[in-house]
Amino acid sequence: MRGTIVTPLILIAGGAALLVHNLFPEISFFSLVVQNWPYLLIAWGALRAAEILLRFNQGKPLPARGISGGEWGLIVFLTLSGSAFVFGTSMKNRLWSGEFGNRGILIFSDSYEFPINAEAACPAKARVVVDNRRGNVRLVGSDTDKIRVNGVYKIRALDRTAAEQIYQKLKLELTTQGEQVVVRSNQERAELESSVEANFEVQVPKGVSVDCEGSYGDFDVNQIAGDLEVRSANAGVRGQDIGGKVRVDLNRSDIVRLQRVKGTVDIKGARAGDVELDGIEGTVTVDGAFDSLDFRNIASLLRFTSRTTELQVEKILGRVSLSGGELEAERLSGPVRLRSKSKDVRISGFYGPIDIDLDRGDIELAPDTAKLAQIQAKTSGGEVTLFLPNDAKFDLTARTEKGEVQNDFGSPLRTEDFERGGMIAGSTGGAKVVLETRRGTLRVSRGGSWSGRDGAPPLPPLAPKAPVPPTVVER
Amino acid sequence: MPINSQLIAALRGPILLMVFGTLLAVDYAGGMRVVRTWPILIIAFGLLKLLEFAVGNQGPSDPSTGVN
Repeated sequence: MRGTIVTPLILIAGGAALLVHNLFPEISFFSLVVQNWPYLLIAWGALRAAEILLRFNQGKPLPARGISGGEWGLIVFLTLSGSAFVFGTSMKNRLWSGEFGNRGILIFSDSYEFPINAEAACPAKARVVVDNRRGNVRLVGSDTDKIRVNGVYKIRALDRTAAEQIYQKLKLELTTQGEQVVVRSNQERAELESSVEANFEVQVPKGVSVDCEGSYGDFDVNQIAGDLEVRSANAGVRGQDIGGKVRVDLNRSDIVRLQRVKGTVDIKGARAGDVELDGIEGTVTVDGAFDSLDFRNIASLLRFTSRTTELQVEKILGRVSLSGGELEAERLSGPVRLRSKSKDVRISGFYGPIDIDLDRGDIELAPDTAKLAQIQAKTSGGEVTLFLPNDAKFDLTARTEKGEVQNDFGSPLRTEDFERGGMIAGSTGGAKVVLETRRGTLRVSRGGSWSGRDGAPPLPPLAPKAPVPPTVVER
Repeated sequence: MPINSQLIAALRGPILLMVFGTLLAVDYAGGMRVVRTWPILIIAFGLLKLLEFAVGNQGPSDPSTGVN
């Protein structure tokens, strides 16, 4: 059909989608298309139908075929490509999760359970190494001089006899070599490693350090005075009351939650879900791509690095929350340094110098004290708002190249309008405050931190701790 | 302007495409699989042909459309 509106609409939609992808890099355009491509076919058909009905109403000649042969070819191609991709993704996930074995044996198998019970003497400050490829491990420090392991093996096999044979090969290993105690579930000894899972709880003396290694399954460590180290391809990590430093190295993970850690925390995650840290006394370093991050009560330097964002905070007395395109923070002690490609930033109740530079995003700042430190906030595209206490001491220069300026603070600040932008400037004899936006409204207003002001609700509370699954299952 | 068989023939492709897209969307949303629901496409095609035939019989004959 000549003069069709579908082609230009497809071009506009494609261009708009790519534009959104460029402006909001955190939105995965590709996965959106993959998840929703059937709707493209419906929209395509609806547009064609609307076009034909329009021509019919206008009395114009109708095409013999509403959709041409070439278009049907493209539709078939799209359908095959989309289906193949979704099928491939599904198969990959099932292989990752171990649903299929390399011989497909697991499809026809049943699950059989065998107990894990082991006990040995353990030095008070031992290094406990836990090697569990698949399954959940809970480790608890207590007033004891022994290490006790209780749990269950879950073995998938064609029958109980075959499962028993696998179990005999595994037999949990608990060995002491000087100051090192090794707990090993030996899943690699099974012919099909993915057919075996070991869930167990380990009781250890409080003074130990713990070193966990695995591929799939969670590690939950509580009340140890030493260090904690976790290396896993895919694990949820939970740690409470850790006396030493914590190091977590993951490829994928749904959650890393650490509470009350006295030492440093170092988290690396290539592609992980949520990170929640609360009550950390040492330096915190987080590096990787995460869905959301929540930091509370961090007594030393926080350093977070991702592909699009760099954040450094000297101390967090309240909370910093990052998710999607937003960063919200309350009660920070500077220096604070933030660099990001795209993020809306809202920081309240801070003191000490702050330096923010965004490629895109709004900035809203409300310092806690009238005795301001140096503030520098720049964004290439977005609004900048600063709330200053009534008696604040500052030397302010605020400028927008294209956008409005609003001086709600009043004297001694003065406003100057340019052709397309404007500036606000004034001094009460305090620290340098520089605000800049290339496109967007600039506003300076009276008011301190969020508390007591409308329109800025407090951050939601930290999520409660997830229940721990039982390590022994009654059959 | 009265509906004629030429309009039904022109709309056949877009309507079938919408039905096909809907079946795929239902499948992706966790509903009935396309491998089970695809006969709906044949039914829709048949209904459209039937409608085309019925409309064609009401008005002047059109040799370019209708059931062959």
